[in-house]
Amino acid sequence: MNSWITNWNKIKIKVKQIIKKQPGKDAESQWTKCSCQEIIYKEDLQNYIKKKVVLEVKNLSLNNSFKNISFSLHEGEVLGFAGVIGSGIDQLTRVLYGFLKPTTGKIYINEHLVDLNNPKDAVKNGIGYLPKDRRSEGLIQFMSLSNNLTLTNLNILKKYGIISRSEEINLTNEWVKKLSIKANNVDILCNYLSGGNQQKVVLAKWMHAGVSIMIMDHPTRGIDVGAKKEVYSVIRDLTNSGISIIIVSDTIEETIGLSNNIIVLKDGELQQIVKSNKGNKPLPIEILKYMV
Amino acid sequence: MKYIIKYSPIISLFTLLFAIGIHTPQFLQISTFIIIAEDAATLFIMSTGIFFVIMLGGIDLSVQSIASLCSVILALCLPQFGYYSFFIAILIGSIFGLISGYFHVTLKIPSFIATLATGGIAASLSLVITNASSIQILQKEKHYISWITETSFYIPNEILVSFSIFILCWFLINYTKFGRYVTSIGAGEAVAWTSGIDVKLNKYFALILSASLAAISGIVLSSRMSAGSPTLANEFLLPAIAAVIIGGTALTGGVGSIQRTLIGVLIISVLRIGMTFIGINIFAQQLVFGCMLIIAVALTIDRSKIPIVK
Repeated sequence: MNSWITNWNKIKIKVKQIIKKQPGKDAESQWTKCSCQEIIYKEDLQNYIKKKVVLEVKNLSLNNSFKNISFSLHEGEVLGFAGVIGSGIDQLTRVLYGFLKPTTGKIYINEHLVDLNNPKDAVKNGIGYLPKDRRSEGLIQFMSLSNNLTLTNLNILKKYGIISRSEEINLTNEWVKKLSIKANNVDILCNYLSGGNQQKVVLAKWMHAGVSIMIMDHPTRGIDVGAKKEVYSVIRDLTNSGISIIIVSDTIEETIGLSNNIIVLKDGELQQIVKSNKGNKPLPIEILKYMV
Repeated sequence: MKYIIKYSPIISLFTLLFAIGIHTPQFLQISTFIIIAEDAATLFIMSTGIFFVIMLGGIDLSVQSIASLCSVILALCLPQFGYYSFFIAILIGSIFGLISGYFHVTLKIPSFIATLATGGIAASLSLVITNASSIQILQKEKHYISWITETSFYIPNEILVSFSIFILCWFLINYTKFGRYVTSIGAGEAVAWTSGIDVKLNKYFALILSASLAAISGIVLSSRMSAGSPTLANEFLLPAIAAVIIGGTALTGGVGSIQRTLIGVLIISVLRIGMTFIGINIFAQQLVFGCMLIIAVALTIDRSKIPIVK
């Protein structure tokens, strides 16, 4: 038993060293996240909820997945979705982006009733989607960075009806600089970018398209600690500029750290909307008790 | 190695020209090149259409039947409708594109089957309306087709027609939203869909474009032969697909260019004319195209990364 404990300690030390060597200088804080939560999730930059409702969902149901979900999303709010696998949060996010059609219920965007039949409708209504699976839904792997980035809004590149390549390069360079994407040139295939940089390209793709609501499905999945922090600060920048965010996250701590309100689903039913304001964050256990 | 594969189409084009030129020196003449360009013109128009569908990640097998059908329709309509018959032929061609689009996009049938079926419909329709015989374009109607058959500035007009289609399609794939969307759907359909692109509409457009271009190639072909026949464009499908693939457009979609298709078409035409110069049996041509197609497909896609081939 003793030898086991010493071995375990050795492993722990090694893990710490490995984390230190990853990009992101004070990654140590991630390791002891309970004490440093506010720094990691940039809580000091968190917005207070504004009054304006941008998205309202009323009695939304989908067969076998969830029923009678109602909530509203305010301007500049980060709304966290929490729930175990099978609780219906995956389906709920996909309904909100038009992948799935709800069986009953209504969705209002800026107080207008909308019909989201496919992602195209969602984009038209100013919703952006950061997918869980970057490789298959986020970026076209064997297409250049610039082409991927401009895919969501080619209209701004048009001059006399022609897509202007120089405009495209300018726009890409601007966003590469803004989000500090590490890429040798704008024509590099996205396949050669690291996970974190790919995620930043997906973010940029929606940011220049001028969305007002972002649905982020596991935004920090499979990216390194340094890139995670940058994603968090992008989230704060977005909300400060008035964009509302719906977030489904890998860890409950991340959801708590980032969100203003947390919707907890269990077996397809809305259990509770937990407030998670700046300086008054709930403990994970308070969310977990509704989840299971 | 990467560069060799990238430039292999143009290298093989010149190698072919030299090889045939060494065997029969009279091959390397301006007049031969014009014959090659004339031969390439119709094939190129057809290949361009297929190029768009292949860029999408699909395939269009209906082009040769649509081209034949449109040649028949042109020959039938010319006495009555004059210049309007060109529009009628293109319109009917694009309707067949719409039908393939409906099968493929709305009914969600794989493009292979959908266009094969549409091609079958078009082929048998042209056989039915002509009773399986060819229809001559009479001498008094020849002036309608003179804009295709005549020459201007020593260049046959059909070459100019196909060159303008080249310019148009080059512009379409490189500088329009449609072109960009076609490329991205071919490279990653799920991403394109998630990015809010109307995938269905663009697929419809590509199939209609392909069928319309097939119709135009049928028109050019029938003007050249001054006849419309239900079997006029037979033996065109394999060379047309081969040209796109030999040029270096990946069969999986998303990678390729119209210039490459042009080079592919030129390779096919040089082969075709060259083989008659050397004296190879005309029936062996498809054999050569078949082999070329396999070699090109094997070269363009790195198969080590593909676990499953359907």
